[in-house]
Amino acid sequence: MSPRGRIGPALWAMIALNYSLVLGPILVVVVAAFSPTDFFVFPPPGLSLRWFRAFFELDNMRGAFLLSIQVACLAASIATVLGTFAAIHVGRRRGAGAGLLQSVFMAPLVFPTIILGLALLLVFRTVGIPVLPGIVLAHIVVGLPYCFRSVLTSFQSFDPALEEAAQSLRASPLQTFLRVTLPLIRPGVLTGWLFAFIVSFGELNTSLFLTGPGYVTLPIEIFSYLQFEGGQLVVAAASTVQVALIVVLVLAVERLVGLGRVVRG
Amino acid sequence: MTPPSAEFDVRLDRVSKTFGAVTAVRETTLDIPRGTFLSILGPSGCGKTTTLRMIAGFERPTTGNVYIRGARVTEVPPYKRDFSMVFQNFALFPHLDVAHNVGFGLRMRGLPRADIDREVAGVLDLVKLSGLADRFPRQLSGGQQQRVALARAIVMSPAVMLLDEPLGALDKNLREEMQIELRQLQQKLGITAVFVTHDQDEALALSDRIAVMRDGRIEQIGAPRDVYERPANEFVAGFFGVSNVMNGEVVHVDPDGIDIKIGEAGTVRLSFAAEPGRRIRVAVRPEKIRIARSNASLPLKARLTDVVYRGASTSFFLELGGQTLVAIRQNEGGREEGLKAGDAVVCGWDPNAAIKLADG
Repeated sequence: MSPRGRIGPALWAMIALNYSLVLGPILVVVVAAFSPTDFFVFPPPGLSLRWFRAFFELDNMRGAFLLSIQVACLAASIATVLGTFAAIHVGRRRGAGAGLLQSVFMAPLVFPTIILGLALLLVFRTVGIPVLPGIVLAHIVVGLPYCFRSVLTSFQSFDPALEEAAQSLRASPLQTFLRVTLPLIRPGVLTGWLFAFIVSFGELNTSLFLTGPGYVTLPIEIFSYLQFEGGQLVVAAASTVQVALIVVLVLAVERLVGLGRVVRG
Repeated sequence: MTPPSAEFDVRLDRVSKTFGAVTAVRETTLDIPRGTFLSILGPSGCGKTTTLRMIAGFERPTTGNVYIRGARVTEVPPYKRDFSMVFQNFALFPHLDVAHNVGFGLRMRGLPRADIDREVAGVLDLVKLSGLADRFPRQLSGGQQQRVALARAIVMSPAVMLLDEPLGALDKNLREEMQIELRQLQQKLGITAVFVTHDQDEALALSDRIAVMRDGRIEQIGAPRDVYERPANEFVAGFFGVSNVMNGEVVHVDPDGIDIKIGEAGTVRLSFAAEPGRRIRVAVRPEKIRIARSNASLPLKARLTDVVYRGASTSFFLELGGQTLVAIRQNEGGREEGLKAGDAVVCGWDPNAAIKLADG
């Protein structure tokens, strides 16, 4: 028997475990969201859209959903611009300096976001930054490492001689960037934007600290709804809408650049 | 210094470049007349690529000035200089097809679309790629990519075309084919070209002039025949494949030449001048050394230490007067004398064949 043959069953078991850990909870929530009953029963006796209707009929939920989309779009876009320049800057450097800068830009990832939220709250109070720009700023910080990392990966397979070739053909630094560098790192840029969007869209910790009257994002609304009103199935519907939105975005980026190719490098 | 003139497409005036503590190019002055194919030849790390990159503007000289067509461009960024470049690995834009790669520079210059299309079609015809305009670089063979890179540089009609070991990425047969094509194109178009290479055969085959560099300095510059036949020093001689350097003592001088004594091996006649009694160093190319079992016209006694058959030729390693030489003889089937290692032989060379190196 070949080694591969012996490993087979164990490997399959591991894969099955992975899938159930990742997909199981999502599946339960999605199934629950379609249930016709008043309370959570599994498996549900039938299918209905009543909880989705309820979700969109709740002004707070609908408002939070729209605000979250806007915040995520804005924060992801700004984080992508910043992350792209940071990645190009680091990607062009060599040696110890590059490693240090890389750690700096990746820092928000290892820094607990609940502490980050507190820190930002103190800073924003001191400087006097209003609530909404504050939330967007926090989401930019949280999304930045994803953009940075993803663009850096693209940039590392980019041949710097191409920029010199463009300049030898009369392209100014700006034209070189727009016509050569950017098109070639585009997969990393789009993927970075997607990750930043997803992270911002689900970001609760920093938002909890920074939120204020009239500015409630979807995760906060879900959180407080669960705490104070207890309607689990509306929340299941809300989560399902979130997941659906992200799935659509992932598929869109996949169509644009081939996400699989980007992730595999 | 004479003022820079437009006769020279490129002029380097006492240019140096240091990177931290490392000096890549030292006080180099170089004039490249219009239409010249100049090769900068040297081992890796000799400063040849840095020199090229200073002409392009990718490196700024630490001291000295760069002129292109008489205009001082020392501080001018690359994209405002009148040159084009063929890169080592071609550096074709992978996201653009052949036509857009070749037309890139013209588009940057703001030429009308119709003019770009016409120029691109013309130059693709010139490099025999007419049918491949809509292919992407990854769909092309190495030789085809090379031609695209060349077309992209030629179409700019630059004051000077810079080539950074552009044939290094090709296999041997293709390389020789491209050498001929490159030379023909350059002559047909009359473009001034600076070609960086570490391959002496390539430099000899392509160039009007060769500059041999070592340690940031130009050791010798001249026509291929000059640097090959009359290397200025041992380094240049060695770089062009002269491995035979001998020490000898001048024992006789007359108007026609000198006799030198090489250890115990004997005395041999050379056709250049030297002072009597001096010890000198001379070099002789392996293919110029004649050997035989016995021959009255060959004055030096030697011993064969090794014989290596190489197909087209045979290498004979000789020991004479405590020094080692190698002689190469073309194989002409049947004429072999059955020489083998350990045999005593005689050897010698035409008085004109020896190259005088620095006095030793």
